[in-house]
Amino acid sequence: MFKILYLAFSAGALGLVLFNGPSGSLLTGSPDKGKVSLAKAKPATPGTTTASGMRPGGSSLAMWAFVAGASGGYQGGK
Amino acid sequence: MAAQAPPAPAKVFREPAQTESVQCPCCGGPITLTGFGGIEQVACPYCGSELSPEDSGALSVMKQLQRQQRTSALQLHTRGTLDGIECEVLGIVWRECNVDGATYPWQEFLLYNPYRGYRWLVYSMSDHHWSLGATLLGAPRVDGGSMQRAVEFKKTSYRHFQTVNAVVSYVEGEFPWQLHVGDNAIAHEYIAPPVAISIEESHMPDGSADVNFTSMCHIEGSDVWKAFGCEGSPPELSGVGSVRPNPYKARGKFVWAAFGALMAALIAVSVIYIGGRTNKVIYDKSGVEGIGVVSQEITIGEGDSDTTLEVEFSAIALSNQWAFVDIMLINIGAEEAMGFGLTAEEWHGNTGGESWREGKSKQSVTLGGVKSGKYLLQITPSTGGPKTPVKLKPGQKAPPPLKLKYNLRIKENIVLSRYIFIAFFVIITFPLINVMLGFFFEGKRWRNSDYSST
Repeated sequence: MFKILYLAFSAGALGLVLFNGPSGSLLTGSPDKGKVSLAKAKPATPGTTTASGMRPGGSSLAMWAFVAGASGGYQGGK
Repeated sequence: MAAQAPPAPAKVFREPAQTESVQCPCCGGPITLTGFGGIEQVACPYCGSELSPEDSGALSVMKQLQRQQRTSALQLHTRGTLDGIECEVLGIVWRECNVDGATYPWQEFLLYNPYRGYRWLVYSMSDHHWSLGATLLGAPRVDGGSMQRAVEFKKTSYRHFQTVNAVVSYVEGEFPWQLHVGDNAIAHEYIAPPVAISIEESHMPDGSADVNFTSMCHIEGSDVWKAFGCEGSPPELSGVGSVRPNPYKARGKFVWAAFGALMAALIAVSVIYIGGRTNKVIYDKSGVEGIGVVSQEITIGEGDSDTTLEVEFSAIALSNQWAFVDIMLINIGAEEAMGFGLTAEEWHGNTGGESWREGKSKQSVTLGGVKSGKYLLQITPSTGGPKTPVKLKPGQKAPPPLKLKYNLRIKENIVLSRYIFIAFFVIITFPLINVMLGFFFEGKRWRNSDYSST
């Protein structure tokens, strides 16, 4: 049993390096995620984060990312 | 004239040996003699009287005794096949030793095969371990080089395990030597599991000493049960016998061989993994000043595969100040965003006459499972000073407004060494566990020796 477990776990660990290592989806932190919608620029409302950027087409669009407070902002300081 | 009949052929072979059944002259109990001519003493199994076989086949009384018959693990005259040799239990001896006030008894079964001679089967009554002994063909060499007493025989070193005063407490059956209840011998046990050498010194009344060398090897109780056709199962083992093989040592050969192979595989896999990572810098801005929001479109990854990102933020020349960037990566195609923050800070001061400094000027974050595609990178920096404003002394100038200057770099398809470390940890952990278990096993074995610390 010990031998089988050893080989199984080791093979799994090697497989993890080989197959999951490139994407790193299992052993990395996962940031907050959310859907965004593309919209014309509007006045900002509380609780939202506005991202202004140039679309490939050159038109100026505002993105309303509903991931408000995703990073939580800075909480430290002396 | 008729021809004379040929003479009858002379008998070429002697008559086959027959077992004899006689009566004990003391108690009248039936005694079967199967040891043939080599027997010096017979102990009546019923009354324990010590008898001497005569040439006539009768038994003469050497010493009349009256004791109860004991039930041994194997019965007298039980036959079995051990190591391919059929043998019979010819005699049974119970011996015991006293260590620290506790008595440790064991049973010894004299096994006999007319063609292969005598062997001993030893059963420890305290921990139910079995061992098989035979006369050592030679004498071991005393190894005086090591701290612990040891002997060497045929290039195998045997470490001293214990020395006890073994006293005979019970005898029944036939023996090729004189054996009496109360006989004692100094028994030295030297082990190299699963084998051992027992050296017994018996001191004779005339002052001479008799030294016997016996080689011992571990045997499983189940093998004894099978060999002698015993019913049920052998008693459960307790503790670790002196010559019981270390199962972790035996398994260690496989484990270390597998470790070598797995390490080679890990090296190969790591080379493939590291070789496939580009560590490509997809965004690198240095010395960005101010707290204005920065947006830029970037391309992450190639094709449909997910990738890894390393985002490193560092602030320049911070002084009693924090700096923070709120980073948002918006997948334009999928209309999904992920956000995270990175902080840098530097604090210094003087408290109680001692100056201090703390904080880190850089921070990085690693992201995995990031979908390839075009992203809008939005960086929102901010900065600030202490929560509690510094009180200005009279005449002291107010500090200049805080400025922020920072660097931000994003790399994709990076090497995550944690994957390799985890694989290495798994591969090394099992052999280490095996070594530890083997160590504990040996510790339990040596707890019963003369070298026990407890």
